[in-house]
Amino acid sequence: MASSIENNNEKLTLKSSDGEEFLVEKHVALQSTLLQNMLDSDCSSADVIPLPKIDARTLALVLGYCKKHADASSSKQGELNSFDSEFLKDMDMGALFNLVLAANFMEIKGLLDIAAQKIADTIKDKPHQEVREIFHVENDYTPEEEAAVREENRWAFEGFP
Amino acid sequence: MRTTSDGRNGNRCSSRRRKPGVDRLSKLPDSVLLHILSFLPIEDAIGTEVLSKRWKSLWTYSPSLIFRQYFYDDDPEDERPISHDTYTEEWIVLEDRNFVAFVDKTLLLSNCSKVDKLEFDFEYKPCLASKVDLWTRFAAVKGTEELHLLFHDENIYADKNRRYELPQHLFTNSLFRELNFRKCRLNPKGNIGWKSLKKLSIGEVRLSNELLEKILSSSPVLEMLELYWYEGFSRLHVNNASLKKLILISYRGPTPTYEEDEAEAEHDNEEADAEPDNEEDEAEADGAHGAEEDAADGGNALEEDLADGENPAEEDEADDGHGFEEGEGGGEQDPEGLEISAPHLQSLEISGRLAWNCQLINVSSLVDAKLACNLKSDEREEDAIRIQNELGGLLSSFAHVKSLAVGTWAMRKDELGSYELRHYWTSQKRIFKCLSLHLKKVVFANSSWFGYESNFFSFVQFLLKNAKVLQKVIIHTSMLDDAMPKEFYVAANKLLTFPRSSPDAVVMFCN
Repeated sequence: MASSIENNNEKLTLKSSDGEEFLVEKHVALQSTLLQNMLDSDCSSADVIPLPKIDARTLALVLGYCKKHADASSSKQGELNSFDSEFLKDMDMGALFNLVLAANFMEIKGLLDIAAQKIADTIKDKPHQEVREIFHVENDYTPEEEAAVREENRWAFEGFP
Repeated sequence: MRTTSDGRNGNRCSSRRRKPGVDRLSKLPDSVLLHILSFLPIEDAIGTEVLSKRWKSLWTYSPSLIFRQYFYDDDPEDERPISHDTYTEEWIVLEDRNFVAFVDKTLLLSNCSKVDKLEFDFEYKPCLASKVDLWTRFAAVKGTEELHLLFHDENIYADKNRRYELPQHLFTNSLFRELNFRKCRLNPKGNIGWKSLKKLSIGEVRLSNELLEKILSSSPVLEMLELYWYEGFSRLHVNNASLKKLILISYRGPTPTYEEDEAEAEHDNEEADAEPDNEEDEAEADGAHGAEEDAADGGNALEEDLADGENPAEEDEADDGHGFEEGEGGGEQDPEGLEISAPHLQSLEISGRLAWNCQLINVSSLVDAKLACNLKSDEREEDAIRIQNELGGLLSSFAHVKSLAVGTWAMRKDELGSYELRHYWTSQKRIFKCLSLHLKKVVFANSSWFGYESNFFSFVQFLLKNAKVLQKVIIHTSMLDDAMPKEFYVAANKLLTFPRSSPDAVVMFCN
């Protein structure tokens, strides 16, 4: 992103689904591959870029993340790691899903990774029923179907504790 | 997620009675769900099939498959007391039979047309060669971009010449972006075509100067090179303009070969620097030092004189109680020393043992330098002074360094030594370009304690006085409590109030 730093005075405006506008420095926006591609393909940065799938609260979080990562140099990796682990710490599930969708839409790999990791950690090591309850996953298998699926993937657990 | 036969009937009814929430997880697009699955161990990802129909067979489209034979049992319910054999108890090793069958079945079921990432981390036996051949072909067929082949030897006596030899197609595959090879053999017969390779890690593989050169010249976009437990080469000339980061962890050659776990302990071992060197070693190292200064061609010698007798000629004298073994490859002689030239490098990390007689010829673009290596000093005065000279030499070669981390090797922290040593950094004017323009952060690892009249103190004092844009000096101490000698607190207090040329500079003590 070295090239972006030279132009870091440029700003662009992002508009959330609920109509709030955010003025963002260009080098911060470039954390998003989506925005980077838009800027590269010369969508004029004077225009307002609408993000119809992302609400203001989520967008504020996303931009906070982008700013931190855009401003930190590579030598501050340790600092970024601790920022990342704090970033999602006490986030509720709803906000986390909004964030993972926003990161996916805006193509912000680092943010997508930490959000996906967080969800994976919630799934990990828990019995199926508990996972279903946490995420409100409705079990649409009949008991017979479920037993069949279990039988089918039993191969994967032979030899595992 | 564990597949237990939990509540197939009862729980399901009770969950129906609960107020239904929105299942946002299952509504995520497939790509995001697969991304989440890629952070789960494969067996857990497979287990998600049981959740609901949405999840049936979903994992088979996962673009990332990671197979590890060793599992850390981090069951939170498990409150076994920590004992000396905790290590072996808590690592669960899948039997070979199970591991190989698991990999085979998983690959067979994989539905993804492009498997971006594949990792195999397991104990290799020559009888598995044809299996591994197939797995690597799977990588080729599925357009894998990130491949980790991390082999373990059966035991320390395993014949290293029977380690897995990488199939030739891996060398010509131009899709790879990231590769990591451990404990295997690299013998590219034709050209290497790693046109997209950005990150390369190689560990415990014997490399030659020619092979390294071939790899580097065939990897035009390589950004990061990591060599761990490395040996067999004496020249590392990196002219790739794209290569910004070099990591060297624990030199392994030429002669002493330790047992596996000892080598690992060594990896982080920065505290052992106080071990007195063998007298004879020292004499030879000193002799070599003078000679190589000429050879360094104005560059700076970063010289290693380990207690263990790196030079084969010293083998007889060196006796530190470890059983010596002949180095890997039997009679193969390792070239002496290591010469590093990397004019485009921005970040350099050296930790663990450093190759004997290591010289940084050209690292003029370096911004971030971590020197956590053991540059062992014996207790003698001349050696301590020599190390100060070398540190000075390093500082002048680090013309653009902004961040510097220094291991414990460099300085004496007690109040012993001559006046010259104790006041080395403050007794005369020393000018370094990085100090006046760039150096912002200095970290000292594991400084157990230090006194006011020590060599270490004079160095920190020197930094504060001369580093004009310094922002932070961080001193890690292994303990910060009443056990520290009084001298430490006296010295620490003095440092905190010492005049500094950068008004923003702070001195921090951390655990």
